[in-house]
Order: sequence, then structure tokens, then C-alpha cells
Amino acid sequence: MTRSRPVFPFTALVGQREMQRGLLIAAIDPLVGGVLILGDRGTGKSTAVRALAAVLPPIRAVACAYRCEPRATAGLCERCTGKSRARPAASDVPVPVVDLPLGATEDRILGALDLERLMVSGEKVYEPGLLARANRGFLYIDEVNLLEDHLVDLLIDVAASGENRIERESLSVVHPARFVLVGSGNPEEGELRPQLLDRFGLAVEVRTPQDLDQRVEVVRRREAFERDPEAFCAAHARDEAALRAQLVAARRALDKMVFDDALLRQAAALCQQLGTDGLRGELALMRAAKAAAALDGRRVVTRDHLIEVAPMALRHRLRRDPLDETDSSSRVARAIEQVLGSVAA
Amino acid sequence: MSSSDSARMRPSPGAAHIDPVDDALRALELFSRAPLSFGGLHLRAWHGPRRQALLGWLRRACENAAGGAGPGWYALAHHTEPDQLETGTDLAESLRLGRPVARPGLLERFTGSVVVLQRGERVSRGLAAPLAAAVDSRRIALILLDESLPDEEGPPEMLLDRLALSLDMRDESAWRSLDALAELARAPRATAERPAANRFLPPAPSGDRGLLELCRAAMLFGINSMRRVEQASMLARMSAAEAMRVPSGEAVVGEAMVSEAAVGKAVAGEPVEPRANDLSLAIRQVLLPRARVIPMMADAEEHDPLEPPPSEEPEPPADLEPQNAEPPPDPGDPQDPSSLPDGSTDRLVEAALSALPPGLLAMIASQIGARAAAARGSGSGRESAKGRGRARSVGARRGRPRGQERVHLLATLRAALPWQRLRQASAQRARDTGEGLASQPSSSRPTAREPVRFHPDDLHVHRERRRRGSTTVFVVDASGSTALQRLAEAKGAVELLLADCYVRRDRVALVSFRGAGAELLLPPTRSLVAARRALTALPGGGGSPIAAGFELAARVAAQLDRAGDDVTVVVLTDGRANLSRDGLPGRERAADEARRVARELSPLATHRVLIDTSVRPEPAAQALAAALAARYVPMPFARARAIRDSIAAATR
Repeated sequence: MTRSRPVFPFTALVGQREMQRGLLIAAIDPLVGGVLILGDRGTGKSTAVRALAAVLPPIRAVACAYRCEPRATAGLCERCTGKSRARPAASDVPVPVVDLPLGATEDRILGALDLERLMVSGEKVYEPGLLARANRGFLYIDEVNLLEDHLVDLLIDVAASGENRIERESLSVVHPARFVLVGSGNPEEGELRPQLLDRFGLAVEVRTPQDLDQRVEVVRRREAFERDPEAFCAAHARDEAALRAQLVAARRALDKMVFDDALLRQAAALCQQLGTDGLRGELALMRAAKAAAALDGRRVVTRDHLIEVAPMALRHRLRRDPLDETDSSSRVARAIEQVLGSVAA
Repeated sequence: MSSSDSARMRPSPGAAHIDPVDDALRALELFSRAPLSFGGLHLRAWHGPRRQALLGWLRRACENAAGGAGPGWYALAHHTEPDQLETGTDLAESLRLGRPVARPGLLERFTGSVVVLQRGERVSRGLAAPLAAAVDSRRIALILLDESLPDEEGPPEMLLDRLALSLDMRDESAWRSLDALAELARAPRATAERPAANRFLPPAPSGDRGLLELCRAAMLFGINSMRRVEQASMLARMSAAEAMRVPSGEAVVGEAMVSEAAVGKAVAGEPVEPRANDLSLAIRQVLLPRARVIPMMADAEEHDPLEPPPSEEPEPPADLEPQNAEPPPDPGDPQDPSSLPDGSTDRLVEAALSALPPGLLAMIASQIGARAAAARGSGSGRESAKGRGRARSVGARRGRPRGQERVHLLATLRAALPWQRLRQASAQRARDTGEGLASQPSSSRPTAREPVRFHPDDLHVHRERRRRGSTTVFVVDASGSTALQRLAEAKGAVELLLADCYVRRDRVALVSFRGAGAELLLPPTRSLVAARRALTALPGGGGSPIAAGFELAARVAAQLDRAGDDVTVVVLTDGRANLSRDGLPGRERAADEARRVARELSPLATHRVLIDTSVRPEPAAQALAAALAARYVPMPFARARAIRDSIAAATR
């Protein structure tokens, strides 16, 4: 919706380190499973997501509706899977960041029969929806905790399988829909369905900065941006380019990251201590730690990285005990201290 | 408006006080210079000529500010379907012409305009979300008309947070007369005073000082949204720049964004340092209406003398800050004045507030408590009016419309279109052979203009989901006789139940009664966070006004019932009423009254449970349960889980 207007640069964000790191980690490794951003209104949640989109390096894609990867052999759309035909030319395209508005209809999300083709030629053609557009990119849901249940159900299936399967209106279509799910919301206004909560790899908390100087800086930069968006972005162009290069390098390094066994055992112990259900937490924790280390330009995952990502990878996976007053963040912090020793050490 | 005007309208109690209406109009005038930059206006007012007149004046002001052709001005109904905002297919036209006709999205038309959203308190989130995004990207300015009653849910917070100004015209006697408003519209001050220099004011950078003061002031008010500070700063700078009468050479006509940027660049570089006056205006008009805490309540006479001070003790200030998950123990805590090394902000805020006429601040402060309570229940609570009960379309299904069902045009068309060739061909055959049964008489051969042929089988209707939510209303006796022994367990039961509800998407509300009366501690909510906060604040002790508690519970239940919810009422009490509704002691009368109100409450709830919390089964509680037609559960050693289980048994 803001295509014509420049986007606030990611590198100009003030504070909110956890949110920034969480978003970058999710961008480096899509397998981490996306980010859920929880926090007050007016703390710059959507600004950060849109800023991230602008800083991401472009992807190489085939000119099909799903932006299939030219050299991939799996996870392709029907047309690109066909062996006999030559694939269409590939080009560099920006990473899609697709908004899923609260009021979206099922047709718009899943895709539906193309009415135009139907009217003109009577052809039955599937018109891809938002899920198709988000393939290989990001699907962003602001106020995700307020999303209607029947839409949540659609997402839950697709987010798990990575493909969108439509069997309706005499259509029978399967297409790839692998995206990084990014949601934001204020937990005060409603809770997220546990099934959807579980689909997010990371959950970061964001709060209004309580430091006065930081607050002033936030408003000052916003005002400078509002006054002259182009000039403001130009002033941050070098930082943006540097961050982009950092992301590219981190992605390349991801496969070669070293995660030593002792640390792996500690990560597992941490999950055990917290009683997080299933293996998903452990996987997210390890992937996120690797991505965090890669982002820092390291080749070896350290204990510090594990400590950094543990809260965001685990806090939303704790089993709920409604009588326990302590919030999940401090429970994670306590477990970290027990398993990994004092954080300060 | 001149000073003589304001003197006529409202006797000023002292020279130091400003007229609140003047103040608001001044802010609106600044708003009219760059509506898109301000996001918009939350206008609480009853429908009527006065609101009409104000909007008329504001529109004129916007036009004048833009030098003639102002921004577009559109009305938007609250029940607009969200997909109308985006570009789509015009079904009716497409059918008529037999080819697809695009329908421009409303947002496209609205770009650069002021959009007046009617009955904004009824807007669904589906519509609110794209509007909020449009305001964010400065595509539109939104004037949100709000006619909600004091105890009703207001418009979605998602929108309100983005609107810089907030104006309450509900007290019509305090407002300008119609004549005065009409006069304003005829001769806006702007054109009268500055015919040529009446252009957009440059949103020049703020001086550091002003920004710092506003940030601090926002913290004093317990405002967490950084958007508010941005908005306040915008207003202060506009006000300061206008005072400087920055002459602008360029005549800027048309869209606010363009002109603003143009003028802004022309004068950029010179920071505008708002004066104390400008900051005061911003504090009063942007920060104060959204305050969660009113700082500086030094003048004790503003407090309600009837309310004994000790009873306020258990209310922690955190209660007024629903946005703050935990009151942060850091130096930035708004409650901690020591975090402000420099007293200037306090003085500034004090000056800004003391300029208001006496009584007004106390009124605002009293509204804050109510708003905080409403905010606790909002979000999921909002659904009572906007999602629950009311049917909403969740897609289409094949079938003929029955009863209230609506035909789903798009789906019907999609079903019919693939068959058109076949049907037209068969219709043609039927015509040719003269034995057509279902075909319509038509002489022409199938062409592009051939009408679309529908068969009954094509018909699709909206699949509607009329969600009947379910809400459990806890009525907890927090009086001295019960408080200490059972309050803790009651809290536990509520949380357990909420954890269940949370899985089932049900809601919980909490009414407590003690001492002088009853209180809705937790409006219907699904938020565990909100519930936990309400429960930690649950104070105990004092008399036992059961009737008052039931009365409030009945009001809550009636509201939920109207919204289409199933209501379960769970009462935790020992049944020993000792205060009647008028606050007079006397067991006999109090018990009598309690039973009478119980009979009124009874039909409003689908399920009723009374948990007798006294040590031995109490006859008074049994009598009360009978009057309520409730399942009676003596629970001398009430345990949270046991209470939960018995409720589950009762509602099964």
C-alpha cells in the first residue's frame, strides 16, 4: 500500500534490539519459522517489518506467479515442475512482503477462479491469492491476535505444509506457499490461538523505550523522515547497503556454522528444563542461534548466542499454568541461569 | 472566535483560564492546515445540527487552508465491506455488459482526502485495519464520528491511536451555539486575518527542548504510544510556526502532502522551537485526552469527598495503565517523579492543565478510570458488538437462499460462467427445435451481449457464522465475612476457567461487591493478561451488599445477552447480605432485597451456579440459590480446581 512512499530505513530504528535481531534472524534463515512481535501500540512494530522488507537482498526468481527458484528441484509450482518445457527466464525480484489484512476474504487469501477469464472465454483458470504472492517471501499480519478464526485455520494448514491446496468451486490446485510468517499484535487486546502461536518460530517482545533520550530520538527521526522521506533514506543508504551485505554473508555462512556438541546438549537441557512441548522449540532454538552467530559474522555458535535467542525461541512455547503469575520471559530467564549458569559470567 | 465571543458563550471563571472550546477550535484550525499529517480526529458527539455545523466549519477551514480547492471530503459508512476499499470487479456492470468491468477501490478515490467515518464505534476490525494502514501511509485523514454511550465499547483502539486530535462535544451546553458555529464557518479567522500567507505551515524540525518536554509529558500521562508524542510535536510546531507567521511565497493548492513537502523544503533547516503556549496546547489537545494517569493531583479538592481515601489504596496505579503489561520498575516509570531531573516539564504540564476551568480536569480524571476498565475488556471484548451475535459472512455455499440468507453474487457467477457456452448452445438448439422448456424466448444468436444464463443449481448463498459466544460472569463476594478465606480461591478459579475458556475462545467477566457497592472489575474479556491484572487488584473487606452485586451482574448479563452471548453466572458468596442497595445496614432487608434481585438476574443467564463459601452450608445462601434458580454447591474448602469442575458440571 505504501509502494509510492519510501519506507523508513531499518538501520534508522532506535532501540528495540530484540525485535530487530529477531526479524533479521528470521530473514537469514526462513526455516526458523517467522517472528511474532508482541507489544504496545505505537512502538513501531509495523514500521520495523516494512523496513526489513526494504533492506532484504533481492531473490532470483522465475517469471511465474509463484516466483519459483530457478535452480530448485523441489517446492516448485506445477508449471515449473514440468520437465519437458524450458522454464521461463529468471530475474532478480524484490522479496515479496505481503500484507494479510484482517478483513481479507477466504477467496483473496487462497485464490479463486479468475472471473475475468471465465467471462471472456469461459476458461476455468485459478487466480492466485495472497498466499501465492507471499511464496518465498514474507506474509505479514498486523493485529494477528484479532484475526478471525476461520482465517487462522487457513493459515495454520498452509504454514505447516508450505503448500496451498485448494479444492473448491470445481478447482483443484496445489501450489507452493513457503513464506516467513510475521505477525504483530498487542496481547492486551486478545490472545492468539495456541495452534497459530506454535507456528511462529520466534516471539519477541517490544516495549516503548523508557529511556527519555531514546524516546526523543525516536520522534526526532520520525519527524525527519516525515519531512523529507527521500533525503532521510538517502542519508541511511550506506548503512542499509552494509546491512544488506551482512545479511547476504550470513545466509551464505549458514550451512557451515559450527555448533559444538556440548552446547547442543545445553540447548536441549534448556528445553527440557522449561518443558517445552515437542521438538519444535529445540529446532527453533538451534536454528536461531546459528543465524544469530552468522549475523555477527562468526563461524562458531557461542553460549552468548544461545542465551540471546533462547527467550525469543522459547517464551511462547511454555506450557501455560494460569496460576503461575510469573510471565514467560522471566521463566525462560530463570531456566537459562539454571542451565547455562549466570548470564553475566 | 474573538475573546468577546468566548465571553458571551461561557462565563470565564478567571482570566487565567482558557475556554476549552476555544482551545479545541484552535487545534482544529491547525489540523485543517495539514489534515493528512495529523492522521485525523476522533469526534465524540451526538448526531445533530451542532455536529453538522462543526464539520461544515472544519471543511471550510480545510478548503481555506489549501487556498480554495481543499482536500476531498468523503463520507464512509461503518458497514462498508472491507473489500470495497480495494479495486475489484464491478459485478453488476460486468453482468450487464457481459465483460469484466473494474470497480475502483474506495481508497483510490479517497487518496489525499478527508474521510468521515460514520458511527465509528460500530466499525469492524476488518474495515478498521485497512483504514489504519491508509492513515499510517498518509493516504487519508480520518474523522471518526463516535456516538457510543459512556458504558458502551468505543471505536477500535487500532484507529484511535492514529488520530492526533480528540474532541468531545457530547456536553452540548458547553459548546458553541449553532449560530456561533455558523458564523465561524462564514468567516473563518484564517482568511480574515491572513488572506495571502494562509498556506501550509512548514513541518520544520522541532527544537530539542520542545521534543524533550513532550516526551516527558507523555511519560507523566502514562502514554506509551510514541505516535502520540509525534502528533503532539506536530501540533506544537504548527502552532509555533503560525505564531511566527512564516510567510510562504508559494501558493500551494491541492493535496496536503505535496504542499507540505514543498513548503517544508523551502523553509527547512530552521528548527521551530515551540513556546510554552504551543506545548501547552499540544499537551491539552493531544496528550490529555488519551492520558492514563493524570499527574499532579495536588489540589485535593478535586477528589470526590464521598470516597474515603483508604479505599483507594488497594488500587495500584498500574490499574490505570492497561497498556503496560507490568509497571516497569525502571527509572522511566511515570509514577516516579525523581526520574525527571528537571522540574520544568512538571511545571509545563501543570500550567497546561491549570489553564483549564476548574472541574473539567476532575471530570476527565474520572473518565480515565472508566476508560481503563473498558480497555481491559476491549479487544476480544469488543467482539460482543462487532463479531459475536451478529452474523458475518465467511464464504459461500451452494444452495438457494432461505429465510434471511443472502445470495452470494460472486460465487453464483463463478458457478454459472463455465457453463455459458453449453447453455447458450442448448438454448439455441431449444429455440431452433421449438421445444425449449426452461429457455427464455430470445431471437438473437449467442453473442458477447448474451445475458448470463443461470440455473438454480448455480445459486450460492453467504455462509454465515452467527457466533454464539459464551461468557462466564463471576460475581464474587469480597466482603469481610468472606474475603480473606475465599477470595484467593475465587481468583484461582477465575484464572483456571479463563485458561479453559481461552482454549474454547470463551470469555470471562468479573463483578465484585463489598463495602458500599459493586464494581465491574473485569469487563468481558478473553485476555489472560487483563484478567490477571484485574484479579491482583481485587480488594477485600467491608460490608456485603449482595443486591448491588447482583444488580450489576444483571446489567452485564443483559448486555451480553443482547449481543447474543450465552451467559453463565457464577456467584461466590456466603449469602449473608447485610447492606441493602441504598447502602443502609440491616440483614433482614438486605437479604430480602438480594433474593428479589436474584430473581431478576435469573432469567438473564443460561446457567447459574452459586458456590456457598461459608464453613457450614448456610441457609441464607441456599435461599439465595433458590431465588436465583441456581445450582447450589457448598464448598467449605473451596479449591480453585474444585470450583472450576463444578462450574463445568453445571454448564454441561
